[in-house]
Amino acid sequence: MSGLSRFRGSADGIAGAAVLALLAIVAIAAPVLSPGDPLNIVGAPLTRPFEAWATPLGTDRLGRDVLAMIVHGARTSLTVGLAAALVAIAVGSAVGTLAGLMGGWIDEALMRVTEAFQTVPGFLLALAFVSTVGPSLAAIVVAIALGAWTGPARLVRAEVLSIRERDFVASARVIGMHPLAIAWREVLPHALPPVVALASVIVAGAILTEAALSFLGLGDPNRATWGGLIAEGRSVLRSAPFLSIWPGLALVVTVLGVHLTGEGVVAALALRRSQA
Amino acid sequence: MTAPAIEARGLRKTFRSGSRTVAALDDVSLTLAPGETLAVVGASGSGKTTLARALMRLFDLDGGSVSLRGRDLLALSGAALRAERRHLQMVFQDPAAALNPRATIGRVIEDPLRVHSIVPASRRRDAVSGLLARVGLPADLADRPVHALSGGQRQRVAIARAMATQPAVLVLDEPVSALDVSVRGQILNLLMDLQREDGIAYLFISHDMGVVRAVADRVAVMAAGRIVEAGHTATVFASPQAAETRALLDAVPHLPPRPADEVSR
Repeated sequence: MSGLSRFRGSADGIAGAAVLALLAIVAIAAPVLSPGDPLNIVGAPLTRPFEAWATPLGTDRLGRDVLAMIVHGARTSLTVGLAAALVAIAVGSAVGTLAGLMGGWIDEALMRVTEAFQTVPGFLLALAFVSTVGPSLAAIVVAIALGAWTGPARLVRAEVLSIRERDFVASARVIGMHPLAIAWREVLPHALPPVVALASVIVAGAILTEAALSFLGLGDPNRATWGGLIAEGRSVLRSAPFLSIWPGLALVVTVLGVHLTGEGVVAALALRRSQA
Repeated sequence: MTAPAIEARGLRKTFRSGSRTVAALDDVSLTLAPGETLAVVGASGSGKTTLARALMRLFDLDGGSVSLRGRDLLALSGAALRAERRHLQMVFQDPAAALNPRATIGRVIEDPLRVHSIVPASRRRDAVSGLLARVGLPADLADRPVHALSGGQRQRVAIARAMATQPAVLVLDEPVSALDVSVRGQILNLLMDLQREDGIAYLFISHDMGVVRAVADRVAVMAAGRIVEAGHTATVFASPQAAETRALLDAVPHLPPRPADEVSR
């Protein structure tokens, strides 16, 4: 409760949450805002922005509505960003909790695997995975999570190492609680707050990675994506720069919104910690 | 003589940090009869908390044996150990640290009932209310978060949690030393009442000889991981043998009688 009020006290957090809320509404209402397939041809090719009422942001080389593609692209970006972050945090938390609680050779083995993943650049990993499995939304989510789970894993492990020494964990063992129940009910909830703060970085990174994959033609070909739009406009960058600028702006605003929201979350958590 | 509630023989535990080794427990033996209170006293670092945690199997011993109600506790592991734990419970020194700060009072007390399937889910709320009443707390506290309580109330909750499984032995690790002096007496009285009603054996860890004299049937004095003196409370207090016992007794503050004029003023 008081964490929420501290979040409201952070100007960054408010601004970020407002941007994200707007984007979420656009993404959810995309079929209403611009009905039909955004990849349909609706007008003359390369209409300039603000020239035609039907296509306020202009059309691309094939005569497709840029605004419609950006609105639908918001769905892809937010879905992939959130889903990839969720998968990365879930996998990372599980690995980190297991390593921190079990210790011994299990800890050693899990940490070596984590380090092995960390030595490979996340984008390279995603690139390799998508080009092997083929571009689909699920494959892109997994590909991004593949490079992003190590951060939460190490963070959760470090938290668990200190939490497991606390008396309330000993008390749970004393009453005979199952080790998995102790991990899930007693330890993990206390290890998560710093991971929540890290989540904004992961979401922003995931959105950018998705855009980069789409830019390289490894996005889902049946969906409008911001990265795909930027790539599409690249060949006519001199004559029609707006084709790349609009989706680029959407990307900047989204990532900024995620980061600002993250700042608000950090402010709320930091104050709670200093009070505890 | 009745069979002991818990019996420990020759407990050993050595901690290593780098090249330094510390014998935290050095051939410690003790016996506790049902309904009896044995106080383990000693200065800081004498190994009394290590003894408490070793008996609770919170870490592995290097040697020795523990028999709980006639069963070899150290031979158990996994599910068998978890099941046996209901007969041996513990109250920690600092109730602020020993209760999950995110839990509600109800959950803290319900956990042991659920883990050992003592009360069916439908009647657990009533059971929690009953346990709260036994430790002198109102039933409507069940929905409150742990952090909303005072230290004394939290320790009552911790006692209710430990009593929930109706254990044969309760290990009390300095149960009142983290509390305000004003509530210590109440908690001690509560513990004595519960013991009288249920016949639980108490292993009472403390460094406060004043408290020990009030609650213990027998006393064992620890120093450097060994029991240096043991006997009935009255005997030990009347004629302490070991130097460590005398040091602990001397540490109890004695106020000299005040001059008459100051009292009358």
